[in-house]
Amino acid sequence: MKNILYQMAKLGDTSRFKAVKRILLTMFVFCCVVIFYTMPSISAKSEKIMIFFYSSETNINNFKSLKMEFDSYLSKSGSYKIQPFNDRKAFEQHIRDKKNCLLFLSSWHYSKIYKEYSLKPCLVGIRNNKKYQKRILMSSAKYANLKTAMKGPVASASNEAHTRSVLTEMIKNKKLADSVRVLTVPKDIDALMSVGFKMSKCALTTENAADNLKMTDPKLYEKMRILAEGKESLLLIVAAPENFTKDAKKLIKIIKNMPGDPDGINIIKMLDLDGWKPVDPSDISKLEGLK
Amino acid sequence: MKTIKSNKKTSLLRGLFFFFFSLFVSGVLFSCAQPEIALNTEVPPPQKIQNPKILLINSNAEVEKYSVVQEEFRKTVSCPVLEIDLGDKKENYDIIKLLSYNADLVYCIGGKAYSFAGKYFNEKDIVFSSIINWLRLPSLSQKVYGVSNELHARMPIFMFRSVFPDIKKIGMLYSQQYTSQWFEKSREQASELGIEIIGSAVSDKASVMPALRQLLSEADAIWLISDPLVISEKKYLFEILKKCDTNKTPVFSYHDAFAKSGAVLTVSVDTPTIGRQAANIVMGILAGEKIDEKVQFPAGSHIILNLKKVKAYGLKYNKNALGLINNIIK
Repeated sequence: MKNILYQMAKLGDTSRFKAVKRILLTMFVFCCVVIFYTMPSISAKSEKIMIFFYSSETNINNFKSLKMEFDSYLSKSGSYKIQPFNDRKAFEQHIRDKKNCLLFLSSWHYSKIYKEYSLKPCLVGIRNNKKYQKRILMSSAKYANLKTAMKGPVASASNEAHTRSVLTEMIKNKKLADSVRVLTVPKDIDALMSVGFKMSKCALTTENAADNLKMTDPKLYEKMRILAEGKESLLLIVAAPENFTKDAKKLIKIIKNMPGDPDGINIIKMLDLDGWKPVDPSDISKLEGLK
Repeated sequence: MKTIKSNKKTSLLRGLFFFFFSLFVSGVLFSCAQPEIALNTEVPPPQKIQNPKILLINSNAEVEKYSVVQEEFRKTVSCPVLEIDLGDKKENYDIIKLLSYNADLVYCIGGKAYSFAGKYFNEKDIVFSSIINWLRLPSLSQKVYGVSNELHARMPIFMFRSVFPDIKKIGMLYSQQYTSQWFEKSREQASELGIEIIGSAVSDKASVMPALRQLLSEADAIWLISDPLVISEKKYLFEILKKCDTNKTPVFSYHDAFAKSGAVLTVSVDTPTIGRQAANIVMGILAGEKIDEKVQFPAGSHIILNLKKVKAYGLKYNKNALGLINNIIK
């Protein structure tokens, strides 16, 4: 360094400028190298824990609001973010090999993938203090039986695979459930409306959506009838990869406490839920098909 | 950066163009709106077609709403589809080649595509969508099916009631010339849901603001519908919204663009569902099924709630209805 300064003093203005430039450049390169090697360890410490969300029960393709609300709420407690998906395949590809994350998914979807992705359920959504929902098949009152009603499209907010799976279980006729045309609509209420306004012959919906229709538009509800009922299934599940369940405790606690917070409850309501409950052994048996 | 900026500018201009264009055309078409879509369906049901082929004509694939519909349609149908874009100026479509494709059915997205299909493929089954107020189309042949671009009147009323159960009187500006039937239809539907719709007819631009002032004295909310006399220019729209804002009266409307300008609740058509619905009609026809409703209302809704305004006006809203909302403005 002394040598460099000595040289600088000896040189004229232009040469001095060049020398300073060279030193600065060297320092810049040095800094870049330091940053390059230290960044990964810094970022590892402050790594974001992601929540990946995909529901096979809704078909909304814009989750901008949900993401903004969740991110802003969770950022108050740590480095957490939510990433919603509107496509099952993309969701499953994305979560493959992800270790530090939570998942929001339907109980039907959980049952399909928990083994392959080594998942454990942590929380289950509740609505009207119940963690179960019942799926129903509704049609216009003019259709006398299931076969006539199922000649046209069945409107459903669930994705096609989920819809056909529920229909099979509900009507006990796989051939009919596999061959019926499915009209995928964004929400359960849209499915009901599509029966009311003759866009489809049946709607695969939830008891909750039918109750809302009954309350808000009793006259339209009167024109419909329940054709078949399915088994009760758990509402939205919060799950974690097996090896992450201990580390996920803090985030799970934040999510569980959301309903107690005025901002948090609004976000939970956007998921059409009122809150969460811990998963008990009977829920796990139901989810994982154990008896 | 420059490209992004110019793209944004172009899409904004395009958006504005379509917005005002839709306002004008749909208003004109509402003048002949029917309470229920009913067409002559005394036609023998189509026969099931083996290995069917579809010709898809898009008026302009650069229009986002059209391209979304096309994509969803393609994802839903399971048979071969030949797709053409009338907006592509580089492409000169050889009609003979298109005819030789020998499609069993033609699906048209937008008015331009529908006219094209009517000209060259009128002996085929035609399914249309994304045409603003299809009722303006010359009488539809027996082989024409479609998805309307306007929601059933009861759908937005249902959503208004779900989100704001305390709102019982809704004011509506309409014109005798364009939307009197729409007003009557909505009033009838709303009364079944326990909502009173108070109308104020406007005859020209000058009568809009006095009519609005009168409505504001009686109504709990204003439902802004598509009427070229009520909203003849952008400035009138802003004037209406400003007046309602000053009065702290919520505005309900039918277009997403209104939400950013201050409307409290907008209930519009869910564009991707239109593509799936059209595909469903197509699959039904090709399978030889009888299609009960030849022209259907859209089955999907898209709802935006402006929570910022809800809070500013001190409105009570049903939190349990938040699950219905697609987008919240805060």
